[in-house]
Amino acid sequence: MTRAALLAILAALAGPEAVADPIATAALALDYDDNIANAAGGRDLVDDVSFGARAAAGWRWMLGDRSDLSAVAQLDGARQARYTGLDRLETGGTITLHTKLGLGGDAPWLKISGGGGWCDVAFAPRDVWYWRAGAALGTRFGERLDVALAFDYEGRAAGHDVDVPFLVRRFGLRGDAYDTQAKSLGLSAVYALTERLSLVAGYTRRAGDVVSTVHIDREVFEASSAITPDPTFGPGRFAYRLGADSNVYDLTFSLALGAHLALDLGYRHQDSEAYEELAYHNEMLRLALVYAY
Amino acid sequence: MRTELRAVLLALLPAVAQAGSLELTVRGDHAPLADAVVVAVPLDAPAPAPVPGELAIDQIDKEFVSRVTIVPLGSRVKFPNHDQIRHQVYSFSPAKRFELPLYAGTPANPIEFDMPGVVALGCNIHDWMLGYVYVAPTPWFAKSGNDGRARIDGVPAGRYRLQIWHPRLVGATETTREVTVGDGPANEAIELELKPGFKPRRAPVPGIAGYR
Repeated sequence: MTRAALLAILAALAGPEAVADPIATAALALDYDDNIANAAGGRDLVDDVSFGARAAAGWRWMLGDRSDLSAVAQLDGARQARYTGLDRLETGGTITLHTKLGLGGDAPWLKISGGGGWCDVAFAPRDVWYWRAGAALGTRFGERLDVALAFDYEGRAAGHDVDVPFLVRRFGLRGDAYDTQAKSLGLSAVYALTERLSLVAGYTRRAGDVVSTVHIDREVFEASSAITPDPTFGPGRFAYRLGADSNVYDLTFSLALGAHLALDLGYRHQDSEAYEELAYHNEMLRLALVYAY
Repeated sequence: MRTELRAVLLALLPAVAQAGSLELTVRGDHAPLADAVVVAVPLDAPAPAPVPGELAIDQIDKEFVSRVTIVPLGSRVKFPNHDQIRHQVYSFSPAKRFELPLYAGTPANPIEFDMPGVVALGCNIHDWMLGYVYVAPTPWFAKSGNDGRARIDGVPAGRYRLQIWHPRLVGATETTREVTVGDGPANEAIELELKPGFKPRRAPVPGIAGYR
């Protein structure tokens, strides 16, 4: 962003026409993941169910007839049914610049966002600072179809120093397995089957780090870039970080229960491939109740 | 002056005495249909121009109230925003193209509707907001209520073409019907062919973080 653009935004925020509109959203979600440890297979494959709650609130400032800037603080928590070491509470914030490239419901829009926060996990070594940046371009075709293309970057940095075991040091590896980075490019479409029922389909190609937890496995360790002990799924397990390419497929039915409330039933399939013999597959289901003010 | 006034009143008296009423029951999907516009256009004489008015179409809870508004040709309409957020009302319709800059409260300058026809309204901030202005070319018009009935009083005797329009009407233009108004009330009923209604969704959609 140029300095002039930044000054224009600040002037608009400070000007007499700067009126902020409130933003508030909340969600309750029940999630199932058939491979929550991101294991390649065998005895490391474990599944779990989690119950999550999310709330976000903030303000939106109109920067003119076509653009707005929003700042939102969010709180996101989840409790696992079995692997309670993964229970987490995220606190963070996001700033989004949104602009509509024309007038009317069919006008394309562009969104640029950035944010970050702290994720506190029950198993403390998994605590991370995270930051995200993204850009999305979307438009509506006719009265029923919305399509968006989004690019996102996410980085995570372990919140604590982790002792690297002798065995790991012997392989010449690092211990910061929870320090990760990933980029993704996704295409999503929302089709209104009726006024109340929408079908959301998406495909995302992700390139970046994946963290898996396995029993001691020499082949896996040799392929990884960082390893750290991880008793979340039981004793004798290690979390390791590996670069991988992922294909993520999403399908969600979303039923409007009113002007502000929706019930979502979603399915996600994810394939991650690091090497020929190191591939992970996840099947995920989500039932969510979403409110937006 | 008093004599002239008396002469004018006497000249008008027969017309007033012969004025009747028109009642149309509008149905669609085999049920009474609300928000149908009914306009009577005289066939035996040129239609007199309606008296323009000063009207308002409100925005309440991010919706247009009313969803369908009939305005006499030449009327000026304000768009008061009663919400705590701002709106940007616009129309692409050939009968009136306009765009109100983003605003809170009531914009100072009303919009003049100077061409008969249907004007579809939208809000560029809240895409689900839809409204319609029907600009009537004659003084005789009405909108059906929840019981489907639209009543027009004070219609001089004669033959009329009823123009009937609804946002879900199949086809781009009005349905028409000829009626004769006499001394008594003229009662008519019509079943409109409707297309499925569709309004952009307001409830949150996964992955689409639009305006609320």
